[in-house]
Amino acid sequence: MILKNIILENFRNYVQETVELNPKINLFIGENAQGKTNLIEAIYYLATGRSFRNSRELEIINWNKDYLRLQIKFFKKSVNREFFIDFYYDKKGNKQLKINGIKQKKLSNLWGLLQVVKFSPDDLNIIKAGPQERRKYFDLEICQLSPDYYHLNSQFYKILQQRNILLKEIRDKDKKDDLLEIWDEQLVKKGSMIIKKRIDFLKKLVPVAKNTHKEITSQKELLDITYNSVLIDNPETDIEDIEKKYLLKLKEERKQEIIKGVTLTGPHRDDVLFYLNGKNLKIFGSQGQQRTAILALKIAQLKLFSYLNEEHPLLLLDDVMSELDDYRRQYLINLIQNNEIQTFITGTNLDFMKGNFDKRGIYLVENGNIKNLGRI
Amino acid sequence: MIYYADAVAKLIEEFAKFPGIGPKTAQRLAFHVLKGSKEDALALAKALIDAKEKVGHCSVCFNLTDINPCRICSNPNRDAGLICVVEDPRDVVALERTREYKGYYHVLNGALSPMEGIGPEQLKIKELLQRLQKGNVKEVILATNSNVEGEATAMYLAKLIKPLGIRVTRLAQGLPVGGDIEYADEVTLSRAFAGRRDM
Repeated sequence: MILKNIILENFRNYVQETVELNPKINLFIGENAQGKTNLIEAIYYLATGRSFRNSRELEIINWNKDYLRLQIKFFKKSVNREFFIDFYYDKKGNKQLKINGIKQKKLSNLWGLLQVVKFSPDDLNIIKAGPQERRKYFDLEICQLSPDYYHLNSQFYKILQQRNILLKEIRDKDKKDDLLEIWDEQLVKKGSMIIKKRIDFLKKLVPVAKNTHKEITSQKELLDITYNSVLIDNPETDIEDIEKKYLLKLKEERKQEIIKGVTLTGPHRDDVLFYLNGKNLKIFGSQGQQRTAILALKIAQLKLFSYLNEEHPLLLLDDVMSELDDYRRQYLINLIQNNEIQTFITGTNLDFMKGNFDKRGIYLVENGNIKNLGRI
Repeated sequence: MIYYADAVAKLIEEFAKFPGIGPKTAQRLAFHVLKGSKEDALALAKALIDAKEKVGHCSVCFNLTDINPCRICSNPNRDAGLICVVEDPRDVVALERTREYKGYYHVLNGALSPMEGIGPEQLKIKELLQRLQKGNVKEVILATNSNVEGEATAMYLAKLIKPLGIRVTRLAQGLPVGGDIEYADEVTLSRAFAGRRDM
């Protein structure tokens, strides 16, 4: 898909800025704290309905304004149509989303419309941080591919919440535990579907990631990524197997769950593990090895999205080009140029981009203003 | 600053307590009442009081009614072999509009939700079982909502009722009639897919 333009109104440090975009590579150059990441964040927000920064959501509204508006126009090749997204959000918490002028009841209607693959320094946390970060990352990417995964997740978490409250009630008020069964049934059904979807996604992603990793490490290292759950003992397991194991596990752990007042088994407790040459990358990997694995993961995601959707997603590279060595940077640039992937790159200088670039794709970002070098 | 007279302010406040009514709309409603005739105001007040005084729950099905038992429960021409279980009196109205269903109803007045402190004791479940024990019911249709709480309630009821030897059914889920497939959301569509049937 091709992003044609974006209008930022009161988004972070922008007040009113219209940016016409280049269909190939877009380079945003500027000092720190001028608004480069904010622009990437705006595009990401319209693709996923959330920010990738850990801050209060209201903070995306310019601090001395009451509302923000983001507008974006893009062409989706797979359906041969132009789309126009208009998003409004104010400090009272009202959100309004319009797609091609039509008011949408749910913000989740954004899923699947504009697909992005984002790579920024924070992404190292996918390996370094706790299981929650990894679940968040993989869940979000599956949501981008299949929007009903989002509904499945919200249903599961609702059931989980109800069940956890019931567990505490049984413990604190000495109630009978016969009511648990009806929540168990739904929990197992939705939970197993989530696990199955995650395994299916990894089955498609991991071979691509392994190959990419081989290519960027000149065959020296072997990456592997596996789904880790007490409910899975072999990767070919089917959904009935998962359901059966899940139900059994809930029965086994019933007493313990009541004592603790929480549900101990399910997709909300699972993890995805990264291995390099058979060793756990989180524990034994160097910073450089971890970064290379993330690069392979993101490139694999890019390739997989392109293959499944029959068009390229937008590639957002926030502040990562300077961290890559020459070989990997060139690999990435070749991939982008050979496939004509619309890409958004930020950095503090141009040095890492050797060669002649179309001036129309270079922008200077300064204090919430974006100037296109091709137009001055 | 000029304030409204006490009586006007009070009226606005009362309107603002209604669901979906904000301060601006409350103000508009209050001024509508003030502009109208005294008769109109009295009619509104009477309607409010009548609704509150005369309407209560039917002692059989727990639907809202102004006579007891309600008009549906006291109609002998309906099919005594069928009971349709719903969460809310509004659901009865919706189902009645179909003119398709000729059995009786049972209104639970809610759905199971530990989060809101609603367990089986808070719903009219005991009363439903008492009705079923009288023996002439052949089928119970579970028409609770298709959200997480409604599903849990349906499952709970099915577990209680099936051992009594009564047929338990659940409303089908899928495409709305007259709806274009292209406009159906993914969840509805995948449910419709799962529930497809032979032709």
